[in-house]
Amino acid sequence: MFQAVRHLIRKEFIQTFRDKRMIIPLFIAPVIQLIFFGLAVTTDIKNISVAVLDLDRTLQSRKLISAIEASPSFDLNHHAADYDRIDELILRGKIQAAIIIPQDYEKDIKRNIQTQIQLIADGTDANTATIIMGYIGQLVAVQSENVLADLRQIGIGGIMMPEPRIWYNPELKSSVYMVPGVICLVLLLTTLIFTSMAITKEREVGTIEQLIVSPIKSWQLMLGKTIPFCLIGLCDVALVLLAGKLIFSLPTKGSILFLFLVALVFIVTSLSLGLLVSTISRTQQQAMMTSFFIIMPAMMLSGIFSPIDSMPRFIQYITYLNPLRYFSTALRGILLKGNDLAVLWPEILVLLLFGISFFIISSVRFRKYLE
Amino acid sequence: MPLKDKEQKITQNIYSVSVENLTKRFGRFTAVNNISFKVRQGEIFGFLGPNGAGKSTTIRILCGIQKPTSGQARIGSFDVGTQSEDIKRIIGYMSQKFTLYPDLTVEENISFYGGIHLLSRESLITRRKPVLKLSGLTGKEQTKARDLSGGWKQRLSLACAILHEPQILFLDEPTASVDPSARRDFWDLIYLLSAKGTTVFVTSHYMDEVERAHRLAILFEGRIITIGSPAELKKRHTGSMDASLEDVFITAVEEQRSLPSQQEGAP
Amino acid sequence: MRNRILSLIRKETLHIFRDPRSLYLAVGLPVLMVILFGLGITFDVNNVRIGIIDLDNSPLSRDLAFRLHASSYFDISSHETVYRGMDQLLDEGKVKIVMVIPPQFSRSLNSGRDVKLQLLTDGSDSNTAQIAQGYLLSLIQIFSVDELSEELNRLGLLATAGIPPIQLESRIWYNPDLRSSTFIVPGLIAVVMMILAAMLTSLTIAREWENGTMEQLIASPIKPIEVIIGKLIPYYILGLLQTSLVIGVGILLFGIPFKGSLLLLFLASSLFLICSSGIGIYISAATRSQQLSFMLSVILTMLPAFILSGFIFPISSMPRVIQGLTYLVPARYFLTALRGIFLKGTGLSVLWPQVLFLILFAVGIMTACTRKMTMRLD
Repeated sequence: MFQAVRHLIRKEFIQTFRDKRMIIPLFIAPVIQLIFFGLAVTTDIKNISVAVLDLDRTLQSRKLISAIEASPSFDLNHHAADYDRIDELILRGKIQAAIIIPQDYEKDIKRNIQTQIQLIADGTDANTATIIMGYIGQLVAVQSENVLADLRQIGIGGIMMPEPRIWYNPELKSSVYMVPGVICLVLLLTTLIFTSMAITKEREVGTIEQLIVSPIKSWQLMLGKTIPFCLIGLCDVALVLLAGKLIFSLPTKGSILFLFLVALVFIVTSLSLGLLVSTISRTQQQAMMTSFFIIMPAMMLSGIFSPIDSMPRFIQYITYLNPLRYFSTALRGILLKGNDLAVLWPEILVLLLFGISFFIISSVRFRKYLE
Repeated sequence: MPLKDKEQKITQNIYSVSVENLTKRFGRFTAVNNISFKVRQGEIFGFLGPNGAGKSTTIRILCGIQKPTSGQARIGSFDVGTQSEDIKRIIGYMSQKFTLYPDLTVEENISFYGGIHLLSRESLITRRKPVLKLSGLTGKEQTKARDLSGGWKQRLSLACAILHEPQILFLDEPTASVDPSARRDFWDLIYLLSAKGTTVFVTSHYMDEVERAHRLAILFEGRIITIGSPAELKKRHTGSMDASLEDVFITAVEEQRSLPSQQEGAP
Repeated sequence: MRNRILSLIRKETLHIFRDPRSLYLAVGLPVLMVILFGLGITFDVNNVRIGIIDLDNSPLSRDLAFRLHASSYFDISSHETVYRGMDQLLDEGKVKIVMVIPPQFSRSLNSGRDVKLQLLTDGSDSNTAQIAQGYLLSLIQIFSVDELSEELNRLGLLATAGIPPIQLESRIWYNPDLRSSTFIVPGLIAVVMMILAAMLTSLTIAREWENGTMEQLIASPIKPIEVIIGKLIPYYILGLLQTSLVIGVGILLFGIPFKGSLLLLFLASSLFLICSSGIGIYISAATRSQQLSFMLSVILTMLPAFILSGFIFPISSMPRVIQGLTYLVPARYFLTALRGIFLKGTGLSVLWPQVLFLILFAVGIMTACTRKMTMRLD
């Protein structure tokens, strides 16, 4: 009974790897994607180019300038002479912000008159502009505090000193965040796109007729077509994890076995989707584009690239329908926090539900499609 | 040189196709092994042999779409290795499998290939009717190519191959999925074209129909094992004029096998 | 020559229209992507879930909590007065930051002693972590200054209370509302165009090789450059259509401004389309396999478009080597041009380097394609 399946699996492997170049997108590309996402995607904001226009040139103003220079977030490489220069620098995109220290800065501080630091930021990149405002705001607040602290005497005016610590990813490496994302992307690409294309190719070329008239049952054909890509997908997960560990020292706090089990549950869903796509596509081009049409929203609305919390409310509700959301949460939880079933059971449950329902739908449709 | 002069060069050359020691290797497999032959202008030349003998590969080399590993071949005075662009202008090619556009109609396919071969709008209009008539496709102009049955697909391929009135026609297994009566019609067509001066180079594994060629070569495992007119071949290998080409083939192969083993590439 | 190219264009257009599903997807995908990305990718950090462990429970500590509550950046998900393991709260994923207000908080401050506030941030998403932490630090800092000035004022050491000595006044240029979408949408246009153009063109030549029609084509006198132009033009027109749709959605749905020259936009877009299509055609000609072609084009265009173009992740933050790589990516230059044209109204005088690169790349890739398209089977 399973012999037919075994043969089908073997045929699929032979066909897929007949063209040895297929190794590139199937095995090498995931690792390359990981490397790029991990290295290039540094969302740590560093070296923001800024300019200072110091109209005061006093000890006090230089204190502020030193604070800016000392900050790793900023690259103070322009000391502007006048407003026009600042205009030009921003227009040409050479700086993202300019800090202007007014003329009587030190004098006003000594006289306890409120003085103002002006910040001009290029709002094109709203994200960075917000961060700049936050950081400069903090620097200015610290200067304020220092001014006040000079006024206090023993026994009055304590200062609050926040002691921040980062948990799970103390070096704030974005690679840590990205790896689960890359795993998801790679799995989706492999299992969804390749499965749908493989079946559609047979239809395009005509060899599927041969299979239909043979005594092979639809479930055997289904397994024969999906198991190879399931295996390749799991292989990719292992590759990405290994590369992550070796190149980025990816933490693996939780149980790897558990991770693979979760991946397996997710793969059932994506494979089923692949089958579904193949039943509605006549050509490989259609299969590819339809798969892409599914993958795009799945990736964007999953919390992989940008946090769900920051999305508009109604979009957040939509993400509840996205199996990728639960899968990425589970992946992150296992890898970075060491979560186990006790914590992740809601996500696993939802994934199981998705997997089973998609599987049933696609099997029914596939059987109809073969007839 | 303008095309006209080049065309004259062809007709001056009595041999449309001349092949010398042509060899094609794919890795370790030798598909075409040191073959040599010549085809006269206006001749119907048959290339006979079982599947895998090297017929299609030879045709592809002669059409200029595959590079030979060694040896020489000329179409007219043009060398297939270095002047393939010139060759493509004067030949028509019909492939073994269906290589036209399935989602385009008969009409659209013909218009397209006409345009590709630089037929002006006037000549396309002039050629369209006779080509359709010749290939029997009148009435089927609006049918999508994929909706045609096997035999009709072949006719469409032929129509597109003769659209630009090529000097030499290369037909690779043109009657593969065609019924016997249609095959006869096809060969009548080939005779017609030959009478008009077109050289026709045909490959086939149907021994009976290649009888109608002027001359033929039998290919086996990449080598030409015998060459001549059907009558000559029958006399040479079977001694009887009543023999079929199949008998000729079997005898010729046996003779080949009984020869001392030949080295690859040796003449 | 023109005749051949026209025949090819006509044929290619027929192909496109005879496959309505792909056509709908070709039109629907860009619109879908713009809407999704525009809504889905917001790096505005809002509603960060924060947990407060208040072991002091004084009016002052409650004041601080209230400040956080009032801020739109934070959502107080958990407010406890008993100690719990901070890391445990983060493990459970219910909050992203935990702040502990120690016992004797209020009393210590009033006696002039400095007090430490412990913050623990979930670093998994390093971007949000940094931003959220930055907000929190800023908030606490300002609260501290306010309290200090109140106290000093109460004690007569400071003339007025509640006014920090140094105030920061911010002015934002080009995008005063600081909407993420303003930043993202022009980038989106580039990303969407790049991926789709390459994807579609990558299939077209490979498909002809796979189903044999290329064999017939190369047996004819057609030249490689004619094939390429014949394929390029219909997809270029399709690309322009997609681009207009994307820009339309961007302006209508997200209200991004358009301050620059339409002509320059057309020029830059055309060049970029040629570059992206060229990449697809090259891959198609090189691999001659639809599966491989598609996968390679997705990987080779998605990666540069998303990561190396400056679309979301700032190039200046990347390691030097990778920064160097970005100089080879056409999307980077197109993005700069787009942002300039849409948001700043800059013209050719400023953007000429970008346009120059695009021209060079387009010419280069087209030459490479012509070389790659050998009119032979091997």
